[in-house]
Amino acid sequence: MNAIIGLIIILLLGYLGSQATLFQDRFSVGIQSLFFSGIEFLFVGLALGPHGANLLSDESLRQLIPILSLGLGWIGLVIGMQFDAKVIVRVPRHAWRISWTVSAVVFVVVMSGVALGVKGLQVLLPEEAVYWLAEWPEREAVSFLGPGKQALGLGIVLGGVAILSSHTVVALLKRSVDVRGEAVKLLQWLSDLGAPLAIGVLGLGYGLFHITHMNAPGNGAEGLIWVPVMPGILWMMLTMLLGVALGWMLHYLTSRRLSENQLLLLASGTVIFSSGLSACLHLSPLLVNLIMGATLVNLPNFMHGRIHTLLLSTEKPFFVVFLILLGALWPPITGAGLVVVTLYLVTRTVALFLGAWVGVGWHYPAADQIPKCLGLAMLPEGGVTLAVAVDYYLIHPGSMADLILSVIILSVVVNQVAGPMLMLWVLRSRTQEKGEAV
Amino acid sequence: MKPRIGAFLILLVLTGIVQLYPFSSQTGASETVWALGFVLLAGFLLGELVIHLRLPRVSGYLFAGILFGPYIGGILEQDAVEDLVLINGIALSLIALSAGGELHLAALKKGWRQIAAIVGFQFLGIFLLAGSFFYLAVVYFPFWQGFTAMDRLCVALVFGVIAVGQSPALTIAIITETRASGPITDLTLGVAIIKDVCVITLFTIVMTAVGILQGGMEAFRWSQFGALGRELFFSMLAGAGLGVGISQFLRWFNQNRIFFLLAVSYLVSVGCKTFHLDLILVCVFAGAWVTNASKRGEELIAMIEEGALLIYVIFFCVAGASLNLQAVLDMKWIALLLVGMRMLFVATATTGGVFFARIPVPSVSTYWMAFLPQAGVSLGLISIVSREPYDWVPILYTLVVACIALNQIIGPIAMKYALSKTGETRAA
Repeated sequence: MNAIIGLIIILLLGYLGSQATLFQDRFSVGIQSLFFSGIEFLFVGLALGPHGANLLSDESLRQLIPILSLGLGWIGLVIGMQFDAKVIVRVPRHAWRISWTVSAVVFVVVMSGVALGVKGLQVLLPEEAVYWLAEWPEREAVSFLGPGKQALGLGIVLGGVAILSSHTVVALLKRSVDVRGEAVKLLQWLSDLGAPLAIGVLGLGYGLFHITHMNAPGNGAEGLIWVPVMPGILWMMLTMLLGVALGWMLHYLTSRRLSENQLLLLASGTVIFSSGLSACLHLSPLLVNLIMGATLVNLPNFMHGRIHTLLLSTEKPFFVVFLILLGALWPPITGAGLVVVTLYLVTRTVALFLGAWVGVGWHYPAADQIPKCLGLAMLPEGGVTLAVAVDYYLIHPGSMADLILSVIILSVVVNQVAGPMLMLWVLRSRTQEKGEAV
Repeated sequence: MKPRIGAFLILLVLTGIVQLYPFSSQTGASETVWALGFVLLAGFLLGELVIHLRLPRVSGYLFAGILFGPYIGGILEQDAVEDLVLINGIALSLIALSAGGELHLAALKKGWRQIAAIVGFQFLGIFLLAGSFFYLAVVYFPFWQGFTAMDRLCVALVFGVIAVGQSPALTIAIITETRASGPITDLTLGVAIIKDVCVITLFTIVMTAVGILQGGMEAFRWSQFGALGRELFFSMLAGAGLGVGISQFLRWFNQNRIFFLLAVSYLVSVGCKTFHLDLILVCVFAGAWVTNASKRGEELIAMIEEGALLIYVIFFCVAGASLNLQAVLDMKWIALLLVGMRMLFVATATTGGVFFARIPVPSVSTYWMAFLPQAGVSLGLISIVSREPYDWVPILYTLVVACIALNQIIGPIAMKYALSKTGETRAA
């Protein structure tokens, strides 16, 4: 019953939220941007969740978690459908190269920064302090900060997530503030190209280091054991195969004249099927659906446009539902979490600055047209960053996933406040802006 | 590759995937998501395949449920089906809202004599004929040993009332699928909905009579009628309230309305269960209110139709998977005989009503087939009977479930045929 009430609350709020004036399509800076971007629904979820009013209790959230995997599938398909080869070939080579450079630098710097920072805690702090910071049972604290590979794992996941930057904020800036110029164009490309790269690297990584959930009690880490059902490389291939096969299936089924109803059924049915299957197999629903979308859009099909419109028409309510659920799941930040989020924010800022500076300097034909600190304009993180964190949370549930989710949500909130301001400052510094800032 | 061959191959591949990694071996709620995705795709594909056999798509969805359900394919096991049954509440609410939205009081006023004639004839005819037949025939059934004449009478009364029942959900689904519209379609829908209310009332009377016959006058309680009256009154009241709410919502919001409607439907289905209200009556009344009081019925129907196919596929696949095929196998010959006799009684009563009210039906000889579908309401009634302590209840339950299962399979096919003969359908 709780799950049902929870679902009703989420659906109603999702609908009303998507209609409300708070969810506006305009660029804003500072605290205001937190309440005009949809991120405010994270706080609504937090208020309703087990750490707030408990209207969405732990039990009901556990039952509602499949909605998150559905949401991931939906987001993955939307991103994948943007990868039309006809559009991709129009992206200049230097944009690809800069994107790869930025991504590589960000990944390496954040991964090593977080991993070394966390490892450093163990060296510098007394053992009791580590337990106190982590607020975890002794065994987990030791394995997390001890000789295991947990710190490296944390670094890898956060490094992958750090690559992502918000496409929406750049688009809103361009629309609302009437900004033009090479830097804005480059920013758009970088945010567009970073998403599939991060999702791909992490999603394939989940395949390579595949974890199989056995019938163990509980929902935490104790329920997870490594089972070598087949080699990691085969899981990776299965991830790609599933995406391609389901993309082809959706293409085949929609390659004739269909009514809106039939199209909705086939698109939803395929997303639900692939998300459920991926979740059951502990593969990334985000990546499987992204590959599915990319496959679909690159096969000759006159229904593409309608499918894309259909997906976009339900984007807002879906996003609100997703954010409310995520807010309710938001684990309380521990001392260790605060340390990790600080490490993450600092290393990401440095890495983006460094990556963009190196990338633009090496690959951009007229580097003097681009601000030196372009990387700082890439700070805002958006829905896709949250989706990638949720992807990890669903595949590898446990204390580490809680920590990662908590760190990423906090980082998204901080960057939503500071990011647009910095973005505007960076672009103004090169007098790229033509109109009035809001 | 021909589309139907492609659809068939995809269905085989999906089935193969699910067979490799069956739902029941999973833990957690992801299984339900996967099962739901499979049901949607498999139901849709089978629906597309059966239209080549001139069967309604609804039959395809039902067959998909039967084929992959716990009794044949075993792909959707009992627990997965039970998880999906939760979604049924939403589907049934939307189907009933849509039916109510189609009820135009002005048209009903004009055609009330015709509706009353058919409902009256069917009530009297089917109830009396089916009840009498059962009373006379039951002694020849092999399982009928050691029961008294009073038991026979009780069983006959219960069977009679359930035989009158018709599925409003299947009726609406077939009308939507065939895009039928016209006076005969309105009449058919009107009869199905009015009959639903009347069957529930008659059932309460019959169960009171059964209580008296089995336990004497001390078993009689006026409160049972009071409870029925309260249920009907509060259902209509709740329906009107819901109708006002939906009208206001339609007035103020105009985007992504289906999300709101899904939440409301869930709320209503849970609310009706909690407060013992009749879900169909609440939603039909709400839909009728929106159409007749706020004049926003077309918007409501358009909004529901945005997701109608999704709803129908889930609802009827789950209905198919929930069919108790074991009961059909156990009682196959007797069930077939009873289903055949019910057809005869429905035909007699309906034709009587048509002639009595001089309804200009273009195909009198086939029109009765439109009233054959049976599903949820009848199953709901027999499940209420199954809670009674009498010795004959388990036998009657199995027999009636088997008959309903057969009617659920035969009904949509017969109804589509009947509607096509009226000349009011627009789609295959």
